[in-house]
This record gives sequence, structure tokens and C-alpha cells, in this order.
Amino acid sequence: MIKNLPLLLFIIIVIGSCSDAEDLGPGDTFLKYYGEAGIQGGEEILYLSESGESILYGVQISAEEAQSDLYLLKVDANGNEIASETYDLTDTATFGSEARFNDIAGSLRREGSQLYFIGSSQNANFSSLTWAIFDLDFGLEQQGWISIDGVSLAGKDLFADNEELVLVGTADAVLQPGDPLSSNSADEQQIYLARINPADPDSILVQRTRGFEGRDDVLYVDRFADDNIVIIGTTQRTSSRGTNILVMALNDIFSPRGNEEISIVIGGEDNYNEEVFDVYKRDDGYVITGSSSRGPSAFPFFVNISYNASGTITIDQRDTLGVSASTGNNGVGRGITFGPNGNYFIVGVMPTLDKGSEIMLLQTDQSGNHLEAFERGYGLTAGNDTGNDIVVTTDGSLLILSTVDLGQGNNLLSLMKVNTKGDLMR
Amino acid sequence: MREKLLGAILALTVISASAQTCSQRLVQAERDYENGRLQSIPDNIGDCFGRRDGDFSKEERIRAYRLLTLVHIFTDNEPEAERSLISLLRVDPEHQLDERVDPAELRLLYNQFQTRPIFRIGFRAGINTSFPQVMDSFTASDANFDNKFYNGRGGVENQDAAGVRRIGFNGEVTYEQYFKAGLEGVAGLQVRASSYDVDNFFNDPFFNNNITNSQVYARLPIMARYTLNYDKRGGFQPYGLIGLSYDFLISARYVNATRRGGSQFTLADNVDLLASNQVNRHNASFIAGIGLRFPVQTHFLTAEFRYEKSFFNYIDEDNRYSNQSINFDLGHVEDNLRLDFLSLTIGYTLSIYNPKRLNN
Repeated sequence: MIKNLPLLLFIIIVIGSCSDAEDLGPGDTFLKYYGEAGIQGGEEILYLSESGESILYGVQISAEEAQSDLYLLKVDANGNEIASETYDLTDTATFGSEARFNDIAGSLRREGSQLYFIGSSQNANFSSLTWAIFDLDFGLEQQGWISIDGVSLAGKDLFADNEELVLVGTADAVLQPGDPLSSNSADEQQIYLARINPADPDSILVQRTRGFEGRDDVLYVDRFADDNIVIIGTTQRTSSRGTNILVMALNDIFSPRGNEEISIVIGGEDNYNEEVFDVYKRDDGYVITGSSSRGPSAFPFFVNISYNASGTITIDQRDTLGVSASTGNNGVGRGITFGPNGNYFIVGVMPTLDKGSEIMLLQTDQSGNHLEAFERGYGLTAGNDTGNDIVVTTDGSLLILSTVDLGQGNNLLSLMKVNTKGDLMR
Repeated sequence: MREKLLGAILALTVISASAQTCSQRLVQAERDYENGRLQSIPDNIGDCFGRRDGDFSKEERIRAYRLLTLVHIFTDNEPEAERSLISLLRVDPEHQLDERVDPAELRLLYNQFQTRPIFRIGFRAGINTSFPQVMDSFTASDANFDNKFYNGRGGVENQDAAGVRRIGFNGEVTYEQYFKAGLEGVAGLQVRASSYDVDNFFNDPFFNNNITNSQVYARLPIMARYTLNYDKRGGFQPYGLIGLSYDFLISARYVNATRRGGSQFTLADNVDLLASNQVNRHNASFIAGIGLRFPVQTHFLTAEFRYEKSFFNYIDEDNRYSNQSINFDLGHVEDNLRLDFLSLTIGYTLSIYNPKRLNN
């Protein structure tokens, strides 16, 4: 045996050398943390398929001025930082005498070589709608505000429509006679729509509000079926049934298209309040996720709507998704995407028994049925971690943007790359 | 009458001899040898070897066995000569002949015997420190910047890494076989406990962490060792060695982890890296070392430096994310790394002899 020991060691070394031949290279890991002191949380992730780069955005509290600003981050395909910028986009022209303005995130869209941002510029008394256009390296090309005396506006989403921008948000007052807003109270809110030419930011081509009695909100706007604009949000128009999903089809000057105003009650449950967090656009419709809640209970939901060539919208699927018995089925869907395996992936947040909450990843089939046993949780052992958004990369992986809670008010942005089994990629 | 007289003289001689101490009898036997009176020598000193009282000292035993060997050589009693020489070598395993004194017949017989140890047993214990060699870097921070530091070397901006160079302990027992020309083969079993520190710094200095990774290996080293002036008696003898080792990981744990930034992080009590398959159980190492040995009779005290370079990844690259708490709470992702070690040991080597006639 002793005589054979050198030979045995030699064989082990040769075999081991062969198995160690793979060159992984730096940065093939995919759990990444980003951010600086003051990071509040992530909002969205945009994947640039031509380069494999990703753009993350969120909100940061500046240490010097104690105000929230827009935080933009660009990372390469390995998750390493390429550029980051913090922008204070507050409406200093209008509210120059007011201190402590905060940038509130609405949405970030990519159109060609430009990024379009919409959000709000707020303090305790005022809120105006903020928009900005950046290049893909975060150079600020244009910015503007919409402020109306006595009205609080908040920007939620936008899209570029030829040379113009279509903006949606909320307003706490009626801007167009005939829209039913019973009173200008904090509980009342309308959907605000505007069309502007960014080359002439001081002029508003069209603006109006739409909505019903109660509190309406909007998350998403898109052009579909040629000359239709669809907005997806929530409404309390049927107050006995809580807050429900609202899908509204409008023409280019924001007038209703026929009767295409649909309220969607999730799962047929009355008195549950729906909140919409993300919309995934399909070729012939939209998949929506969010939460359906009542009291301490909240369930992620999956809604699938489609439209035909004439613009008629139909509801194909609307149901809540059970999460797990250990967490009381609770969870909130914050982002949704269509995976490379033909299933949908929903990222969000779910409470846990031994900590605040963790990042949730669910997988459903194409019909929105929660795949049995596919429910993954990620995050720290303490604190409230939240999954914010999810996208599919060109190599068939899933990128998850989340916010991790280190405690004592310290958060970081996190980017995970997982496969369709939910396993962190190397 | 004449026979009676001779008998009386012989009786008196025996009585006289039995009255002497063994030391005196040995001196007398050596005089008899010088005077050519060989026949009576074995009887005169023979019973001194087994007596408890008045027995020979070790030095006297060596002289006595050498004398008996010479007597039996010159009385043509070869079997007894060999037995006496074996006895001599048992008392003085590395007995050296003196060409100026020892006759050629004795040297001829001596050279037919195994006078070196048949093997040696070495016992060593000492300290070690590790030098992690990163093959591929993995980090939850930006991989384009130097943000991970081992054993406290480095830092960012105005903040140094909190880690320190850790000292571990190792002990081994070896079987050592002499080949020729100062060359020996050494094989044994070693247990090595070691640990290293790693600090991770993130994009902003408000968040970083420090982790201590601890390992216990059972190792099977096999080495070739060359000693200068191998047969020199007395004084220090330098040696060098090279070899290989099979390394079996018995235990691997995170034993300490701290985080700066956010609330206090508490490491779980039992973070077993083997249980989570984060580390590879099998490895192998190349060994190189230098040392000094100092003879103590036929044994040795040793002091030895070794540098040991592992061949394979300590981390299981398929399971670097299997400890979610470490990955997420600390933002720590293990690199692909080899563990190299520098060790200093002191030891004692026992020489085991079995004097016998060599074949051919």
C-alpha cells in the first residue's frame, strides 16, 4: 500500500486537475449589492438586450439635504457597475421657496437610445408631476414639470408618442367638467392624463382627468391597437367591492373608446382591495400582478387581459395565488415577466414567521396557475426585504431587482440572477 | 602432585576472578586479549551481562561485546562472533569502528551487518498560517474593484480590513525510511487546524463585513527528504524535502462573522460548510520544506519550515450560494481559492533498529 501511495496521489492530482479546468473568470457570480448610504429602495429594472447591460433605478435620500432623489445605476452583463447617478429633479422653479423637496419615483421607460422618467416632486404641501429624458449613460437631456395651483399631481407612467410624450398620473381635483369627483378631499383622486411636446416643456397640448367617485389610481399607460391608449390602474367606483383593478381604453385626446372601461374584481371576492404593481405586455394583451388585501391578509394576484383588432378588451384570467401555509398565504406581487420556459414569474414580497418579510419568487403556468411547490424566498435573516422587479435576459436567466434591509434604516439594492428553478446562478 | 598444583592455581584464579567486580573483570579480560589469552575471556565476563548487581555500564557493555566479538572471530567461532556483534549493535545501534584500532576482521564482519535504523518514527507539532490563493473572484460587490481582502491585508479609503492573519496548529506522525546517500522517504498522518479571515467592502464604506473560515484537515503526506552530512555525528544537520499530500477535510466552519452597516449581525451557532456542500472534501498538496535536525544519541530533535500549496479549489463552485444567510446577510460569496500554508514545527524522531546480517 505504501509503495502505491505516490502513484495513488499522482492519479488523484491528475483527475483533479482535469476537473478544475473550467475558467469561470471574475464576475460570473450573481448576487450583487449596490447603493450608497441613504438608498431607500429599488423600483424597476430595464434590460438592454443588445448589450446585456441593465439599468436599475430607485430612490435615495441624500445625506446633505435629507431629501429623496432619483438614483440611476447601470451594470454590465456580470452585474458590475458601469455608471451611477443621483438626480435631484425637484420642481425648484415653481416651489423655490419651499425646502425639502422629494423626488418620488413613478416609472422609467426606455425608448431607443433614451430613458424617459416620470415621477413626482413633493413636499408636505405640494406635489407636481416631474418628467425627464436621459441618454443611456444617464446624461440629462431634458426635464420638465407640470404644476397646477391648488392641485397635487403625481406622475406614474409615460410613453413616447412620436415627438410627444403621453403622461399619466393622479390629481386630487377634477380638471375637466363632467368627470365625477365629489369633493377635493384626501380620499378623492382622479387619473390625470397629459400630452406634451418635450421640446417645448412649458406647453401642455392636452390634459384632463378621468375617473369615478372615490379614489382612482393608475400604474401603466400604453398604446395598443393602433389609435387606442390603454391605462391600467385601480378604482373605487364600486365602493362596496373595495378597490378593484381598472382597465380603461381611451383615444388620443383621452376620451373613452366606447364602453371600454373595465373594473376587475379579483377572484370574485368582495371587500378586498386590489393594488396594481406591475404590468407585463404581451403581443395581444397584458398580464397584471399586484396584491389583493383585506386587513392583514394580502395575496398576490395574476390577471390576464387581451384585446382584439378592434380594441375590445376581455378578461382571460383573474385569480389570487396562494403562497404558502406557513406565511398565511400572504404575499404581494411587485413584478412579473414571461419566462423562457413558457411560464410566468412573479417577484414580490412575502412575510415570514421569523422575520419581517423576504423576497418572493413565484412561478405560474401560462394560465396563471401557481406551479405547485415553486415558491422561493430570498433575503436576510432579519428585516423587511422586498422583490421589486424581474426581467428575462437573452441567455434565458431571470434578473431580480430587490431591496434588502440591513436594519437601522440602511437599505441596499440587490440584483440576483437566477435560473428558471430559482437557483442563484454562479 | 603437579596436576594438583595446577588445579589449585586454576581454582584460585576462578575464585579470584569471581571476587572481582564486572568492571575489573572486563579490564582483566582486555589485558588477557592483549596477551593472547582468549579462551577464558567469555567465561570470565559472560555472567556480567545478566546480573543486576555489578552489571556493566552501557559503555562497558559496548567494550565487552566488542571484545567478545573479537575473541570469537579469532577463535574461529563465527556464529558466536555474529551474536556478539548483534548484541553490540543493540546496545550501540550505530557503533562506529575505528580503523586505527579495530582489526580488519572485525570491520569485515561489521560491514556484513545492518547498522542503520530499519526506519524512524517522527513526531512533530507546530503552528501554521494560511495564504488563500484566489483563482476566480466572486463578490456581491463590484468585481472591477479590489474589494475583498484576505487575512487583513488591504482596505478601502480610510478603513482598513478588520481581518488578521490567523495561526493554526498541526501535528503529525511519520514513518521515515532511509534509502541511500542521505535520501529518505517520509510518509505519515497529519492533522492540521487552520483558519483565514476575509473582509468584503462594498461600494460605500458604510457596509462591509469580516468572516473567519476555519478548517481541519486529515492529511497523508509522502515526501522525499535529503539531509546534508547524513552520517555526521553531533551538530545540526540541515535538510530539505519535497512531497505530495492527500488532504481530507474533516471540518469546515464559519467561526466568526461581523457586519458593519445596519443592525448587528449574529452568526448562527453551527455554520457547517461541509453540511451545506460549500467546500470540497478532497484535495491534494505539493509540499516543500527545509529544516534542521540535531542528534540526541541515535534520535533527533527537528525544526522544520514547510510551504504547502494545494492543487484544487477549497470551495465547491456549484454550491457557493448554499448558505443564504452568509450570502445575503453579509453579501459574502466565496471565491474559487486554493489554500497554501506556511508551517513551523518542532519534532522528535525515534530511530528503530533491528541489527542483523545482511543478505549477500
